[in-house]
Amino acid sequence: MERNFTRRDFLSMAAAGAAVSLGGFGRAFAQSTQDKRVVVIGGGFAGAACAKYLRRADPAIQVTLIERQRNYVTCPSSNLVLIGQQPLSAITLGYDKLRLNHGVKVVYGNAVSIDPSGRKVALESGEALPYDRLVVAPGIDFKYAALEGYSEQAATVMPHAWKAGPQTELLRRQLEQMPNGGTVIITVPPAPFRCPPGPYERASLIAYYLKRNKPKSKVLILDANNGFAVQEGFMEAWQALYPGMIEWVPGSKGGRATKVDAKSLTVSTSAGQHRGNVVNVIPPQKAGDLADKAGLTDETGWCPVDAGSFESTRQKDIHVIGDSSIAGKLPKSAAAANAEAKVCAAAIASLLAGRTVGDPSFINACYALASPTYGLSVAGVYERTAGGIAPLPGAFGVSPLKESAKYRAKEAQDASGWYENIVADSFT
Amino acid sequence: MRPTTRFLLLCACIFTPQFIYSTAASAAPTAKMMANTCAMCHGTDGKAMGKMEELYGKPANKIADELFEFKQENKGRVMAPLMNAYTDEQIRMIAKYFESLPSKKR
Repeated sequence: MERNFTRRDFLSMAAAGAAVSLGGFGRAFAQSTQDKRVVVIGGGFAGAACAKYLRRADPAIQVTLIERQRNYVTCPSSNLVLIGQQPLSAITLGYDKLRLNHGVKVVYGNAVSIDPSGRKVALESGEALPYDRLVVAPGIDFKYAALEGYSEQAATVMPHAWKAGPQTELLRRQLEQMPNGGTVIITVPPAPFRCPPGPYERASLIAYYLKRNKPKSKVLILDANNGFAVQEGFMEAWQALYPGMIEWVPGSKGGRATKVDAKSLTVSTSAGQHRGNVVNVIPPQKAGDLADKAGLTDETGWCPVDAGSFESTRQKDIHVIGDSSIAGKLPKSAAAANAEAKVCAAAIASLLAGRTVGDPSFINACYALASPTYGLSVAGVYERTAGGIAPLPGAFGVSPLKESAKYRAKEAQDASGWYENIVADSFT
Repeated sequence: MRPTTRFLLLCACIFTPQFIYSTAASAAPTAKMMANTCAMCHGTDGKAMGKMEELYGKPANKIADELFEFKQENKGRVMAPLMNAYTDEQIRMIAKYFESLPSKKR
């Protein structure tokens, strides 16, 4: 951070009576951002929004986004695809608008390694992209080894559907094909994982589908944890909408999956074995593989960062945003990713120009559906604290209990408005 | 430049945040930093899609009044806890920011 010039530095200089003319002062410390290069790896909500907001912050900065795939399927709203309420195409996006509207250069390729001292990213194609600052936003990867019996191969039988796309469609087909009276098992990994309310939204929407199409069926949630996001709100909704259909087993009562078997479609826990007709294994998670390879992760498997700039505390000139980062109390959500992206973009624009990084501000606003017309929310304004990032006192809220159907419908409508806007704000 | 003049200019420099915007560490987030967080639901620059409230180019008084109402009357679903985060002054800063955005291009 030696490029930062703080007010304290300035005051001490002034106090020391440094005899600089003001013109000279300005020239000495302001840096031109002309031809400065920022490379962003990963075109999810974090990476895409960061690329866009960097260009908005300073059009002189050249921004290159590296992304493996030409199309991105959003995890938000993918549970509606799962139950046939909308097609996969409705949640599939491209990157043309980042290029056309904001001048982001998009390179489709696989970043295989990072050279922090030479400040270069190597692509699988052999190409090397130099940078002044690098943003790493690879999302999550799965710790297959942490769950016996689970693998990429096993996921073709027991889908995770925790990265949206073909996995979402596989799980949808399985739900369509299962018999009336069958059981859908959802295993939830130890926290932290992507989208804390996600598994419970999924259980809700699957119950919604089953109630209408295979009403004798059940959903069994085997949870490694003892509580979950918006728990009271979900429980109230399950009681009202799907009485007796959803069973939740917390970790303390044997909910933690220790082994899965794709042949017999069984899940083992400390309390015994469960057989499902459909088994949705949400595996234990860690930062994207590239973050590991680049030395950005700590012993938790996630990436420690500075809360004001998202610069890695492990590698200089490299910033980590989105699900891969350790962002204090901010959850691993698309909303937090979008907020982190903007804070990171503003910080990088300041750093490249030789200015001090300003104070960050974050909003996390997440919606989950208990049914297509029953929305639940969690929202807060977060700021940098001594320990990292935390919601401001009194500025954190979850959907109230005992509300009217009209209120729930409004929150479901808010959820769809949120989706439309966060997608546009991040990708167009 | 005479020493006194130089001293006065230095003072002006230190005590006028706008003048040394490029080097001063602010004690609070800027209006732009806060306003950008609204974009997640209300669109980039407050140009909202669909049924979400548009903020772009709206009179600052109108935006601020609505935001105060959420805060004071605990209304607006997620807007109530969110507005609790900001001082009245910060709410006015956010409102003025959206009013001040250039109106030419959508």
